[in-house]
Amino acid sequence: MAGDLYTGTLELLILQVLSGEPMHGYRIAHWIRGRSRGVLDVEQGALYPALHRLNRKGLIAGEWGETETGRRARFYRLTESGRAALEEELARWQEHARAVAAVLGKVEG
Amino acid sequence: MRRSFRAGSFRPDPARDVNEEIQAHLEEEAEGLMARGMVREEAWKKAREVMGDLERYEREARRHAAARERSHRWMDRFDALAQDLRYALRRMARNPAFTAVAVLSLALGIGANSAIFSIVNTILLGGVPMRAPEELVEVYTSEANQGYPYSVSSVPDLMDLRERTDLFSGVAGYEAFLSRYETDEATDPVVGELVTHDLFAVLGIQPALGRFFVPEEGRTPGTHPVVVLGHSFWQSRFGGDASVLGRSLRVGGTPFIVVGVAPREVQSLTAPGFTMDMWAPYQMAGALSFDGDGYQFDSRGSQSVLIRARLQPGVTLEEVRAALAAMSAQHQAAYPDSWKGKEFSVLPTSQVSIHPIVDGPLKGAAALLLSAVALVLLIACVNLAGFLLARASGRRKEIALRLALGARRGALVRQLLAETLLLGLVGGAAGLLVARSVLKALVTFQPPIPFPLNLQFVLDGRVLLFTALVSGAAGLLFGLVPALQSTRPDLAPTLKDEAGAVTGSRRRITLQKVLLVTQVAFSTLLLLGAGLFLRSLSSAQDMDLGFSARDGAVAWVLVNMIGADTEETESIIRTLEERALAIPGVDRVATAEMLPLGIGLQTTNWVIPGVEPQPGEEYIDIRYNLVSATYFDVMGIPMVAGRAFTSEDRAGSEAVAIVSEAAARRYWPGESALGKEIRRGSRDTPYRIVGVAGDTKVWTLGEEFQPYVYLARPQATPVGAQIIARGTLPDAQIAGQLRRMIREVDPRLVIMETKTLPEHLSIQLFPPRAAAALLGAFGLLALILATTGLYGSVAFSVSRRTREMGIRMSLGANAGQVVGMVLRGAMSPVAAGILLGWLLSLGLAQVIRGFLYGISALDPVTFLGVPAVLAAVALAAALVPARRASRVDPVRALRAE
Repeated sequence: MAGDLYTGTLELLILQVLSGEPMHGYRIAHWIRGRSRGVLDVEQGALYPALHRLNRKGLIAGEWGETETGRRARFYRLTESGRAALEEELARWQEHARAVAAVLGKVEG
Repeated sequence: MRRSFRAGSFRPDPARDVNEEIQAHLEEEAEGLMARGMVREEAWKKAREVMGDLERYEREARRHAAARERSHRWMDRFDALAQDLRYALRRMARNPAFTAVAVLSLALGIGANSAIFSIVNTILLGGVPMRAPEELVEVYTSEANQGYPYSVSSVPDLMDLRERTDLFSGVAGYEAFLSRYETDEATDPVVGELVTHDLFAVLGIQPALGRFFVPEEGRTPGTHPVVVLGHSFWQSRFGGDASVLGRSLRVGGTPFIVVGVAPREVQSLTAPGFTMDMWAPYQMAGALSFDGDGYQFDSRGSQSVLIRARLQPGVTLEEVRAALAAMSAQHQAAYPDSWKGKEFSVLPTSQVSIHPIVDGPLKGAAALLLSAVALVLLIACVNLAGFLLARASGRRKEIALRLALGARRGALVRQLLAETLLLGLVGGAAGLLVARSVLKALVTFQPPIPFPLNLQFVLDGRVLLFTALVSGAAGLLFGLVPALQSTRPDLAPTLKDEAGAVTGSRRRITLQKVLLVTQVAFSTLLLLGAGLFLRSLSSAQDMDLGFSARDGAVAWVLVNMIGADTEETESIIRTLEERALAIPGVDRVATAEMLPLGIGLQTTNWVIPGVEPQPGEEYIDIRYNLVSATYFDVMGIPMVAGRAFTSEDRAGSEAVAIVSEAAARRYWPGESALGKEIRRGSRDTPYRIVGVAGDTKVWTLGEEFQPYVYLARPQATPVGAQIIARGTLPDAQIAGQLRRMIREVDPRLVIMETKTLPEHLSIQLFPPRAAAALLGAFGLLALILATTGLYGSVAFSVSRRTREMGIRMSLGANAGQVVGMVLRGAMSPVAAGILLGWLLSLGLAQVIRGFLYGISALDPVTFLGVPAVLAAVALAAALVPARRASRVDPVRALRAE
C-alpha cells in the first residue's frame, strides 16, 4: 500500500480508527483493511513508523497491555490534541473530496 | 506528574519496545493464518510478507520512538528539577529557624565577598574602556636615585614627546584640578582633569553627547574656555538634559562653554573610583587653578602631568624605551638644572592599574582582603554544614528507608543539594543587598574633609556574575558533605540503631572544635579591638585639648581664590568678622587661618637667635597660625604670660608674635620668652614675642604638646580664614547664618565648609571611629558565624547522643545534670577561644596604643566586658539545643526506635 496511500492519509486513518477505542497495532491494521474492503491494503509494517510519529507528536499515546489472545502489546489511544487534529483533518479532507468530486462531476457531465 | 518515589520508575528502551510490538503483531497475524489451516512456516512467511519492508519500517519507527524518548527525558528532568525545588521550598518553610540562620550567615559571607570584589573590580580591574589598549603606554619621568620612580612629568617634556611622531601616533597628558563652580545659588568646589586637547582621541573614547576638544582649543593659553562634563555631574546638575551643550558655566570665576559630555564609563583617568565633574583643555589651567597661581607649565622643573601615548603601528616597547633613553640623556645634558638624575620610563598601560608604585601593594591588599572574606564565607559554609549534619541525623531513618526501597542515591543527593543551592542563591541575593549597603556606607563613611571624594563602586555585571558563582559554590559546598554522608549506603547500622555512625565522625568533630575555637578567638580579638576604640572615642570627648571645642560654629572661606591681594584679603576677612558678629545670637567671633586639629597643618622656617636648628637643617621648623586678636579669648586659650594680640597689631605696626608654652619652654628654658625676637626663614623682619599662650593639641589628639607660634593675621598674608562664632544661637544655625552671610558679602567666595566646632573634631575622631566601625562589623560577623557554628555543633552532638542521654536519665541523672554535661562540652572550646583571643588582643593593644586616647591600652572595662558578653552569647547559643537533650524521653530513646 505504501505506494498507494500518502503518509498523511495513513495517519488520518489511524486517528480515525483510534477515535473509538484504544487498539494495538495488529487490530488497527485489520480494522483499516476490513473497513476499506481491501482497497486500502496497507503494508502492515508501514503502520509502525506512522504510529510512532503520531506518538512523538503527542497525538496518540501508547501503553502496554494484554491482547484478547493474552499477548503483551502496546495499546494506543487518542490524546486530546489527537482528537482536535483528527477533527481538523477530517474537515479538510471532506472539503478536498467535495472539490475533487465537483471537478470530476463537471468533466463527466 | 505525581511521583513521590522516582526510584521505582524504569528507564524505557524505545528500540526494544518497537521490536517487541512488531513481534507481537507478527505472532498474532501468523496465529490467525494458522487458524485458517495454514502450516506454521507458511503462516510466518505470509505474515512477514504482509508487513512489507519490515526492516525499514522498524528503523523508522525506532527513530521516532527514540526522538520522543529524548524529548520526554528532558521534560522529565525539568519536572524532576521543579519537584526538587518544590521539595526544597517545603523543607525551608518547615525549618524557618535554620533557613533564617543559613540565609543570614550566607548573606553576610557572600555580601562581604561581593563588596570587596566590587571595590577590587572598580579600582584594579575597572577603568576606562579604551580602543586597542595594547598599543597604549604610560610615560613617566623617573628620578630613581631620589626615590621617585614613575613620577609625573613636566609640560615642556610632554611637548617634546608629542614631537616624536616616529614613535607615537598620539601623546596625551592629563592631571587633576580642583576649582569652584558658581551658580546663582551657591559656589561649590568641583574636581576635574586638565587634558591635552587630543586625550580622548588618543585613548579612542567617544563622547556621550557633543564632542571632545579640537586642536585649536589646545593651542593658545586662556583663549578657549570650553569644558566636557562628567556624566554624573551632567546627570545631577542638569538632569541629563541634552540642551546643556552650548551653555555657559562659571568655573573658577570664568565662563566656560559646555561642548560635550563624557560617557558614563569614563569617570576618572587619574584616580579610578573617583568621579570627575569635568574636563578642560590644559590651556585653560590659569582660569581653573584652585589657588589662582599654582600652575607653571613653562618650567621643566615643575612636574605635574601624567602621560599616556599610543604607539605607532609596528613600533615595539623596546624601541620606545631605547629612543626615550636617548632622549633622556639629551635632556640631562641640555637641562642640567631640572633634569639631573632623571629619565623617562615607559610601561605598557595594560600593566598599570592605577600607578606602578601603588599597584603592587594594592594588589597585595586586594588579594589579602579577598582571601579574608573567602575564609569568612568558608567558615560560614562549614558551620552550616555542621548544622545540616545535625539535622540530617534526624532524617537518617527516612533516607535509609528510601535507599532500601531502591531510591537512587544520586536522586537523593540531588534533592538535598537543591535545598542548599536554593539557600545559597537566596543568601546570595540577600548578600547583594548587604554588599550594596556596605558600599553605600563606605562611600558616605569618608573622611570628613571638605573635598568631594565622589567614590563610586557599582554592582556591575561582573560583580553580579561573581556573586552568582560564589553563591552557587557556597550552596554546593555546605550541602555536599552532609548530603553525601547522610545518603551513604551503609544502611544496616542506621536502620538498626544510631551507634554505628558515631565512630566515623570523631575526626570531623575535632575539626569542628578547632574551627569553633578559631572563630571565637577571632571574634574576641576583633570585638576587643572595637571596644578599645569605642572607649577611646568616649574618653576623647573629655580630653583636654587646650581649647574649648564644646560649642561654636566654623565657616571656612578661601579668600585668595577670587584673586584678592593681601590688602583686599584682609579687608574681606575683616568684613566677614564684622558681619558675623552682627548675626543676632552671636556674641563672639574670631578667625584663624587654620583651626587646630583640622585637615591642614602649617609649618614654616624660623630663625631663633641662640637656638641651633636640627643637624643638617638651616632653620627651625615650627607650626604656626595666623589669628585674629580675639582668637585666644573666643577659643578659650589662656594667656600664660604677656598679652594677647590687639587691634593695634596691624600691618605696618611692630611685628609681634605669641608662642605656646611648649615653645617657650623648649627655646627659652629657664627664662622668659617675652621680648625675644624670632625671624621667619630668610626674611629680615623680626617678630617680637609679646605673649605666651597655653598649649593646645594642633595636629592629633594623641600628640604631646608641641611648640607653636601665633602671628597677628593683619601682619601676614593668609590664603583664607576659618571663622569661629559662638553665641546663644544653636551652633548649627550659626553655621547656616555664616554661610548665608558670606554669600551676601561676595558670592564669588568659595566656602569650603561650614560646620559646628564639635563636628570639626570629627576629622580627628575619624580614624578611631572608622577602626571601631570596621572592627566592630567584622567582630559581629565573626560572632554570628561562631554562634551558628556553636549551635550547629551542639545540636549535632545532642542528636547523636540521644541514647546516651536516655541511659543517663534512666540511671537517675536529672535534666539539669544532662544540660550541664552538654553545656560543659560545648563551652570548653568557647572558653579556649575567648582565652586565645584575649591573649592575642594583648598584643593588638600594643600595636594600636598610639591611636587610643585617654584610656590604657589594657583598658579593664573592655578586657573584662567583651569576653563576658561573648561568653553570654555563646552560652545562649548552646543552651537552646542543650535543653533539647534534657527533654529526651528515656524509654523512647532506649527502645532504639
